[in-house]
Formats: sequence, structure tokens, C-alpha cells
Amino acid sequence: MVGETLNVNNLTVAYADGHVAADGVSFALGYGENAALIGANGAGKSSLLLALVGVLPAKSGEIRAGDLILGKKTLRELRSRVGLVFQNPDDQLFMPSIFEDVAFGPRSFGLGEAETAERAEAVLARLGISELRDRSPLKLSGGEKRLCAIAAVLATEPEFLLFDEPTAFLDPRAKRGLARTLSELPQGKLIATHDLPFAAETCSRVLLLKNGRLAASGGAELLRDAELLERAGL
Amino acid sequence: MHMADALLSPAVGLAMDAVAVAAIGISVARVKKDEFSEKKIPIMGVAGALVFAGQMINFTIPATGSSGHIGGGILLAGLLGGVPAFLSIAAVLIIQCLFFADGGLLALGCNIFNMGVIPCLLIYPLVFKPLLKRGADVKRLSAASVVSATAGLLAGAFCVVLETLFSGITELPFGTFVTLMLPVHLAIGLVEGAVTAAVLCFIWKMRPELIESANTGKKLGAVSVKKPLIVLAALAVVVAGALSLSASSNPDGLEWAIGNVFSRGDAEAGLEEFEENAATNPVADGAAAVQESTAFLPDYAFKDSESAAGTSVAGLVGAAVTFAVAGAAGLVIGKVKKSKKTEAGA
Amino acid sequence: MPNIASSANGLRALESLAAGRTVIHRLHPAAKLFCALAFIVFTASFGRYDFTRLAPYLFYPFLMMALAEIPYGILLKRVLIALPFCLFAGLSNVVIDRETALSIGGAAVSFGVLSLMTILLKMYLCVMAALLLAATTPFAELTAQLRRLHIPAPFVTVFEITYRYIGVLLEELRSMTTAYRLRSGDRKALDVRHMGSFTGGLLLRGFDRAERVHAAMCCRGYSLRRVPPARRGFAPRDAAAAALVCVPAAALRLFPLW
Repeated sequence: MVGETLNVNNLTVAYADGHVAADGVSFALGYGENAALIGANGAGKSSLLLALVGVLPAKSGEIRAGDLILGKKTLRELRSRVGLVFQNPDDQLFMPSIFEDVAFGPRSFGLGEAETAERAEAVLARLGISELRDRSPLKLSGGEKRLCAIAAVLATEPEFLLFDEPTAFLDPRAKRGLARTLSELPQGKLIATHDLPFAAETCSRVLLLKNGRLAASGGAELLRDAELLERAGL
Repeated sequence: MHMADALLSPAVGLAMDAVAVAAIGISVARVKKDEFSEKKIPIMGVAGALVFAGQMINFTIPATGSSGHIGGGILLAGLLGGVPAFLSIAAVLIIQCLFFADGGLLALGCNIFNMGVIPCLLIYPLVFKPLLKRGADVKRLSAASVVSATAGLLAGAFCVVLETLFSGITELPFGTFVTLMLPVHLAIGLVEGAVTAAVLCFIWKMRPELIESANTGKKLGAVSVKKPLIVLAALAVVVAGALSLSASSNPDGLEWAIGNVFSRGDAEAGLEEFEENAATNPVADGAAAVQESTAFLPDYAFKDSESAAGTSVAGLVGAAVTFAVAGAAGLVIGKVKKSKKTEAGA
Repeated sequence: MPNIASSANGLRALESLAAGRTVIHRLHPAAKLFCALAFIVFTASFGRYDFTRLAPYLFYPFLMMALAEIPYGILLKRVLIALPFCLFAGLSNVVIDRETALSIGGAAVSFGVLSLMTILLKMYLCVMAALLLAATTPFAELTAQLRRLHIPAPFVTVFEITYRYIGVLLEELRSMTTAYRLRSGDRKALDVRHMGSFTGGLLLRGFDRAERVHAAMCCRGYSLRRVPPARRGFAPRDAAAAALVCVPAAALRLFPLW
């Protein structure tokens, strides 16, 4: 629902082998807010995103979307509210045609065929990629695949969007197009990236992750603090 | 080792298709029952793609100068367990048949049986797993891989022989056919086994839990294999019945199967053609053979009434005319379509 | 390893063909599937020496290619893949079965030669029927049809994912082999000693990818039970097209022209 907040309280995530990916992370992401999650390779950005949608189980702490607390029973519901766009669109687009892939989400969440199709068409039109609807992901460019992956997530009508390195594999023009697309989407967005100019262009808030801990949090001015960035390995 | 539609009679082909469908049905039911299965489905899909891609990796076989590639059944079974591996292989075989002309639609059942059911559902639980019963280590893993891959390939090749003979398309006597097929596949199987062993050992070193969970855990592969084995055995009996019916309508089929071993030197000529990748020579030979036989046509003067197989010179001429008319019809339609398009464009 | 590239291109080529919009492409996938199967079964049911009786069946691939606007060359190349084993079986017949079947102008044609020609013709017809199905039916329609036929959903999903990732993995494999070749003095094939780690590495990365694919599917609410796809109307023209193929094929089988 509009106006809700994604709250993360003291979240700790550890892999089965004991490696700690996130350590006591807390933040809140409001509706319509764009936050950049920056950090060096291996700082735990991707793991944090996966934990937020319950793919990686949290060891302790709480994840709350609006009034919905992430747990075994609420997993499905939460995933329909929080959408994750993966780093590599090839991990995400697995159906034989783009339309089928965009329809996959709503269909899985139990929508009827007519409504699913309507939603899929609407999302494709909104991102300006309706002409790709019958194409196979095999033959798309990096930028097209990225938009399709975003469309596939948008089709479930999430309130929050999580992006993992959205500029990976994109040329400058596709990158500009993506920034424009993101700015037009009303959802609250958490964008994990180490593309600092892109972060500066799209986000008003910055969360700096270092070794699984939130090392700094603040406004876009953090992106100009050379010393802080250097220390965080950026 | 892909069986082709052209070498199958409908009875054999359809019977084996039924077996394949049953095997897939049983396997899916089995996968559905397992709580980890949901997770395994994408893995099965990607694993199938991996087998396909893996078969593109050529490696040189030391001291021979020739090259080989992996087969995949035992390799996948060792990684995923027999049932999931079978479903992956079945998916790959369908794709190879539809998009790469490797095997045929009618022959799909044979191919799924020879390359999927045999290694994944028979050899894997009966040979591979018992050999690893006391836990995996490099030695046991290697031994199990080599023995299973070889056994699987030999059994598969043997089934190719049976399927071909029961279809009654080839004249090769059983004995000759077997002596041609088995040594070749013994060699291929040993190489494939060695490579399977190398790959499995590498993965075992990097991610031992993958191999252990597939082969020792109580997950998918460990579920009793008795029931599906019984069902498959029952089906095999039905198939055998169908086969003998089709063979009796085609008496020579049985005769060969009984095995009047026949050894004529010339039969060896076929051996060279057999190796699947050596497509160049056979093409030339085949073209020559076709040319040789079609070259008789112009001399047509001979009015034969009816020859044994309904083949007469008139028939040959008729065939040639049909061929020409069909080709011409195709060309004309193509031309008309093209001109319509350019008109529409203009 | 040039076949990596050619396989990837092959898939793409068929996919472009299948995206066509001709009369044939617009037919119901069930009609095309049924025709292909029936045609193959009829073809396979001809006798060993029925070369001439089979010849009229050539109308099917020729007319289909023309109507679906599919160039001859693309499919012909693939037909050759099926050739070696058929040729092996066929040539052994030539060697063994030397009895004269008919003589034309004094030259004898043996039963063996006739059977070789029959096998090759059958091979061409059957392979073309399968390829034409794939070249005129988009993959998505094919799998939707499989679902409608109640092929178990888990299997169709495996099938779809396999098809989808073949392209991705071939691409990955191509860059791996290029990197290998560049550092190995332009070897044509892998040294068998590297096979374990090379293929093993590809497999492990593939499994990691499978985990991510699965995670991405779960994030969008994936579960095993899936809603079957919407029915697609089977129009009279679909039935008519199927009849146009199957009736003549059956007639030619039962009442050969010669």
C-alpha cells in the first residue's frame, strides 16, 4: 500500500558455512524513496538483498514490509510486495518468450489468465518494450534483457524494488535509459551498485556496507566523501 | 548412439515411446513426492542444458589422435541422483530431436530408454550407488564412474542393436551387428567413464556435499527403486510381446536375432561409417550409391509387371516424376509468395 | 570446437524461422504436432523396399517448406546429422542383400540397394517432419500445447529451462574455450587432463546459476502447481489442415500408386 515503509531491524545473515554476510544491519526505506546500497565486492550487498526476500534465511533480526513481518507463513505475501531484480537477467528470464516470463509472476501469485495478460501487457507498455513480447530472451541485447527482467518483477506489483547491480552489462546509453526508467517508477527502491555516478544520479540516500556492517548512512553527499569511500574499498 | 526414425518399425518405436512415457511419468511422480523437489526442478533444467553444452566439449584422447566427448547420464546421476538426472536427459533428448535432428520423434522412446532409463534408472541404482555404499573417495568414485559409464553405454548399444533388428530394417545378422557395435562402444564407454570420473572427482574435491547428498543421503535417489523397476520390467514384457508380434510379421527379424553369426569381410566396410562424427566419407559414399542406382533410370525400357516388393521400373519412374512435381510445386509456391510480397511492398 | 557456435546459431536460426507468420505458422500447434507424428508413423510403416511407394510423401516436406517460407538449405544441413548411422545400417544391406530385385536395361538393382534408398528416403522424411514442426511452431506454443496435453508440469518446466539455458551455457562455454585456446597454443580440443576441472568448473558454475534461477523464480511466487495455460481454439481450418496431411498419407500407405 502506498505510504508504507520497508523496515530492517538488526538483521544478521550467515551462510551455512558460518560466513557472516550481514551483521546487525538496520535501516528503513520509505515509499518513493531511492536508496543506494554501496560497498566493495564481497561487502555483502547481494546477500543482504537475498535476505530481504527470504532467499537467504535471517539468523536474527526482523524484516517488515508495512505491517507484514517476514516469516515462513508470510514469505509468499512478502515476496509479492518486495520484488528483487537480479544482477544477471539471464538468471531471471527463463521462459521461452518475454510475455510468458512477465506473466509468470502474476500467474504464480494466483491471478486469473485474463488479469495476468492485462497486467503483463500494461507493464510491457509502461516500460516501452511491448514489441519484445513474443521475442525469446536468447536474442535480446543487454539493455533489453534488463528492462524485461524489471518488467517481470513489476508485473507482481511490488511496493518495494530491490536491484542488484542494475547497470552491469549496460552500455552508457542503456544506463541513461535505465536511470530514466527508475526515476519514473513510484516504488521505494534499494539499489545495490558500485557504479557511484549512477548512484548519485538516481538516489537521494546512501547506505554504505562494509564487511556486512552498515558503515555509514546518509544523503547523497556521502558519495562525494572521497576518504570515506576509499576506506570502504570503493 | 542416437537411434533414427528411419531404422524403426512403428511397432517397436511406439512400444518404446510408451516405455519412455511411463518412465517419465513415474519419475515425475517421484520428484513431486519429495520435498526438495521443487528446488530440484530448475537444477534439473540447467543440468540438462549443461549436458548439452558439455557434449560440445571435445577432448583429445591420448595416444590415438582422435577426440571424444562426454555422454552425461552417469555424470548427472552422480550429481543429482538417478531420477532427476533421468528427467534432465529426457528433456535434452527431446530438444536434440526437435531442434538438431539428432534422433527422431518416433525414435524418441528408444533414445530416452537407451541413454536415459538405462544409465540413470538401471545402472545408477544397481551399479554406481552400491559401489559408493561405503562412502565416496577418489578411488571409489573413479571406479564407480568407469564401470557404470561403460556398462551403461554397452547396454545402450546393445539395445540399439535389438531395436534395429526387431524393426527388421537392416539385413545385418545379430552376431555381426553386435560384434560391430560392442567393441566400439566399449572403447567409447571406457573413455567416457574416465572423463566422468575426472569430472566427478573434481566436483567432489570442490563441493563434496553435492556428491554426498546425491549418492548417500536419503533424498531422491535413495527412495526405493524397486517399484519403478517392477513397472519398467512389466512394460518391457509388454514391449517384448509387441516386438515378437512385429517380428513374426517380419520373419527374418527373429531369424537374425536367434543369431546365425555371419562374418563376411565386407561387413567391416560399415564400421567406418559408424563413427558418428565422420560424416564426410559416408556422405560421399551415400551420394555415390544413390547416383549409381538412379543412373539406371534413363535406360528405362524394361516393362516388368510386378517385382516382389512392388518395385518396378514404372514405379521408379513414377517416383522420379513425383519427386520432380513435388519439388516444382514447392518452387512455384515459393515464387508466388515472393512475388506477392514484393507487390505488397511496392 | 566450432560446433559450439554452430549449435547456438542453429537454435537461433530455428527460433527466427518459428517466429514467422505464414499459413503454417498460424495453425494450431496440436494440429502440427499430430501431423508430424502421424506422418512419421506412416513413413516408418512402409516396407523395406518400398522406395518408390514412399516417393509421393516428398510432397509433405516440399510443400510445407514452400508454404512456411523456409529455405531448403537450413534444414538440409541438419538432415545430414542423422545420416551416418542410417547409412551404416543401409550400406550393410547393400553388402549382404545382393539378390537382384529388378533389372533396368540389363543393369541389376539389388534388394540391398533398394533398401538403402528406402532407408535414406525415410530418414529424410522423418527428420524433415520433426524439423518442420520445430521451425513452424514457436517454443512457447509448443510447451503450452504440451501442458494442455497434461504432460506433467514439472517435466515441461524442466524442458523449458533446459531449452532456455542451452543458449546461455553455450555462450559461456564459448568464451571458456576461447580463453583456453588462446592460452594453449591454439589447440583444437581440450587436453584430457584438463577435462575434469574444465567441465567440472562449468558444471559447478551451472549449478550456482541454477540456484540463482530458482531463487529468482521463488521471488516471483513460483510453486510446483501451475495454472494450465489458456485453451486455444481449434478452428475448422486446423482440422482441415490436419486432414489434408493425414488423409493422403494414409491413402498412399494403404493404396500405393504403384
